[in-house]
Amino acid sequence: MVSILDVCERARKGPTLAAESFDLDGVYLTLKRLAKKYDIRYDPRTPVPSDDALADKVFDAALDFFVECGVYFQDTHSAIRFSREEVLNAVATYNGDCRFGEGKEARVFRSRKPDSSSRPWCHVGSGTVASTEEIASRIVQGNASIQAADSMSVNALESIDGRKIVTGQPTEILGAIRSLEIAREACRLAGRPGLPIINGIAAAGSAIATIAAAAPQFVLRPSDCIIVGSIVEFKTNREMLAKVAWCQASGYNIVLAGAPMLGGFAGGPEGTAILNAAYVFLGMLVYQCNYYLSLPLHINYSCSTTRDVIWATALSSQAIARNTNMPTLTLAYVMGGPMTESFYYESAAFVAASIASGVSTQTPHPAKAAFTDYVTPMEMKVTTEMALACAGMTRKEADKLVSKLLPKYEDGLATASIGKSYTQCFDIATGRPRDEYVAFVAKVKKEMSALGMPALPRET
Amino acid sequence: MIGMSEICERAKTGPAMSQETFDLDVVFATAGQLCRKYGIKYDPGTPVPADDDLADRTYQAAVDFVVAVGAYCTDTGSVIKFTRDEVLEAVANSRGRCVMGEGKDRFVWTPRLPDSDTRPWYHVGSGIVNTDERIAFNLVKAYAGIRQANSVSVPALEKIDGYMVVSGMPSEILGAIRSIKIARDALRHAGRPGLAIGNLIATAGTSMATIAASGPQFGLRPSDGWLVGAQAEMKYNMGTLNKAAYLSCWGANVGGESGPLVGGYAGGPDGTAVANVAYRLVCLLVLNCDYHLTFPVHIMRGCSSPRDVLWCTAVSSQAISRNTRELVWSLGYIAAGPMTKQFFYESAAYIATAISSGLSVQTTHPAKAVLNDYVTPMEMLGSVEITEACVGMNRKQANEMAKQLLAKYEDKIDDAPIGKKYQECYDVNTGRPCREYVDLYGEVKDELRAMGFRFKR
Repeated sequence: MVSILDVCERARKGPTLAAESFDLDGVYLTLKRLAKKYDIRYDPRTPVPSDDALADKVFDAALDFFVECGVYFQDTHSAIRFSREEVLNAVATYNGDCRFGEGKEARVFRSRKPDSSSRPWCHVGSGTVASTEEIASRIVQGNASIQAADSMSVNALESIDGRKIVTGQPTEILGAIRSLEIAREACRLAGRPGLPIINGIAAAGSAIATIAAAAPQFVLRPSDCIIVGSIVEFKTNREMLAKVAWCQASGYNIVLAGAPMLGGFAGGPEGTAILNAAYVFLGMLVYQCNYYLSLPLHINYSCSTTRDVIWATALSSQAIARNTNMPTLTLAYVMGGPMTESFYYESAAFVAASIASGVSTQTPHPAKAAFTDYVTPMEMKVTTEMALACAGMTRKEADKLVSKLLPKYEDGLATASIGKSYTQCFDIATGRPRDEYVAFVAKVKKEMSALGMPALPRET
Repeated sequence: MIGMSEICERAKTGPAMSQETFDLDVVFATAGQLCRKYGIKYDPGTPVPADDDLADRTYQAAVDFVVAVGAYCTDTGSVIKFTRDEVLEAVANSRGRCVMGEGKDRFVWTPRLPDSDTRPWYHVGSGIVNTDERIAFNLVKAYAGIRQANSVSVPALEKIDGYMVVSGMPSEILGAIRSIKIARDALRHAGRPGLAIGNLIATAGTSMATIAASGPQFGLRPSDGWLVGAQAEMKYNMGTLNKAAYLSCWGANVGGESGPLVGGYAGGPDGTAVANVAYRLVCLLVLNCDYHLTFPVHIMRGCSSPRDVLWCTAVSSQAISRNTRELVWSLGYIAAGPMTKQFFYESAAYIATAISSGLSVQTTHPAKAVLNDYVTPMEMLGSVEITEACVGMNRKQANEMAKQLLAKYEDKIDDAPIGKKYQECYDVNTGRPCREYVDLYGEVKDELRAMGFRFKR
């Protein structure tokens, strides 16, 4: 196992190069060459491919990419490199058991396989900013009340004690601690105090605030999870490694969040698929993460539901699922917002593609998670139902379904509505959805059923 | 009490200016102007003045200074301002009590006054870097073995698992965690597991590493003490404020740390005396601190034992102890190193000054604390015994002692001997001092006793 100190040493001694050179001569050109070498080609008519050989070629290409390019360390302008043997050894010895939660909610998140009927891990919620503590509390309580939820993402706060939360300042630490206190209390109110919070910490953008607020004397527990991101593409820095070092020393779960950009340095869908699979190696070797949060995005739309992103997600998920035991969640940033048809169609396409491809999903995020309060437990509940309904669906079936769903929203993506805010969709006093939203969802479910989505529970 | 979010707001909305303007047009100009207004003037003939009125004028000047100057936030380029009422209220409502440690080693620290025979707080040890974990262990175990110790400082580590500890990198976090683990183990071995560590965290230069290593999962407790430092002079950055916010949420003891420079932006010894008092007020206002660590040092000589620094320390200590209930360790950075007589002469002058002026002291640091491994428990024991000997000494007596001692070392400060490192003074395996050092300390003690220091043993 390569220790974090050894990673730092490699960052210090690795070959130095300019970030631009790493982006273009390294990432971009290598991916292009490897896609050609392994004959990986995007087929827009098959958004969910079911070609095992193609998936395995993506994995091999990802391995080549990782060994050749390494990971760029911004602070020293150098590449952290690993040998092929180190990577293969890491894959072979990786402990795929990710243990989350406490008491009745203690569970093990494991990897799945394509076309599998095994129950996916249901990760519910988002870190979308909430404008008030009451809304944050209502959303988390609503999400925790979703029976199938295995773990939670909790909302970020906009302000603390009436003051805007500013990254890198004490308000960020105070806001992050407060957001977790609210979330834990909301889980308690839902009767599920042991539910793990695994998006530690949405309210903390900086590493210092994350580490400060994650300390066990406050709210988080080692059985929760801290997100450590990466910088597009394949870059890290000392702040991220500090988080890793702290989590390892404290015994906290770590998730690598990788967001390869289709249309960016990754190139097209082929390069994005290779890169997304390669992020798993970064997670295993650099962060020693416990699971991978995969969120490929389209560079222009900033969402995950375009045809090419779905293809890249499906193919890379199959590559990961077939060749590693890394527990993986895919997460979709969806254009449509709460109480819009687009949200549900987009989500259904993304979730079906992911589940059939052998990974689990986090509940998709409405309105690209970019608008304060534009998220409700209804989107979370229905997309959880979708994930469970899609378990057992083959890739071929998923391809058919996705091919029917894409025409319902594809052309309208650029102008998709951000929908309605929490208070427009839910009664904040009761935490219940408004009748209008319940009726809307019942109608959408019927439409999706007609398109071939397995039956979802009826709205009451 | 002004909360941290309000401090941040002021750091954002306060008057904006460049750092240079703040240093020169505000700090330097105000200190000089207030010294003239209040007739505060350095007298080299009296290194330890016994003038209550001078002390009180220095305090008044410090209040004016804080109101006029405030504190500069280096990240926003703005000044955090305070009203006179806020300053006076902070002083009036200060807790004046700090509880540190656990179990049998839980102690309550209360204020002293000049010329007082009240037992001071004994803070033993240093954060000087060690090259070897065994040495760090030996040092902390020996510090805890000093019966009088109320709290300890623990060393910084140079390496972790063979890798250099690098500021801002994971090695700093892991090194800081390791240093705590070693210290706690050493305290347990000394039979004093509850003793507070009061210099958290010497291995961690960055706020990120300090916060990361400061959790109960790594052996720290809110009853330990964390040093939150200002940059010379009167400057804070967001990292520092983040540290204070984190500690405050945990209910941990916060030590407001400052090292005003004689000859720096506050001017000479008189201006620096005003700044040193002002720091106590600013630390209260910005950090809501529980105790203070202050170490006025000479800007060129990097130590605390020159005549002008002693005067500055004496006057400011008297101003603080007579007019506030702040709990302060005054720390002497000594030019000479371990196993030199000069170390003890300089230390005795510094300690006599601070103790008779109404503060407590941290054990003095040899070789200006800049050389790895140049520290041993003998200097710490000597500092503690000298401190004991100074309790009850009045300022006039201390002034005479300081003058005699200055005559012995004053002209040797600039080429002071760095002495010998731990491995040369102590047996690393047994943790015992060599005969030569025991004898040297015995001789020095006899000399100091002859000068009038009343050692207990």
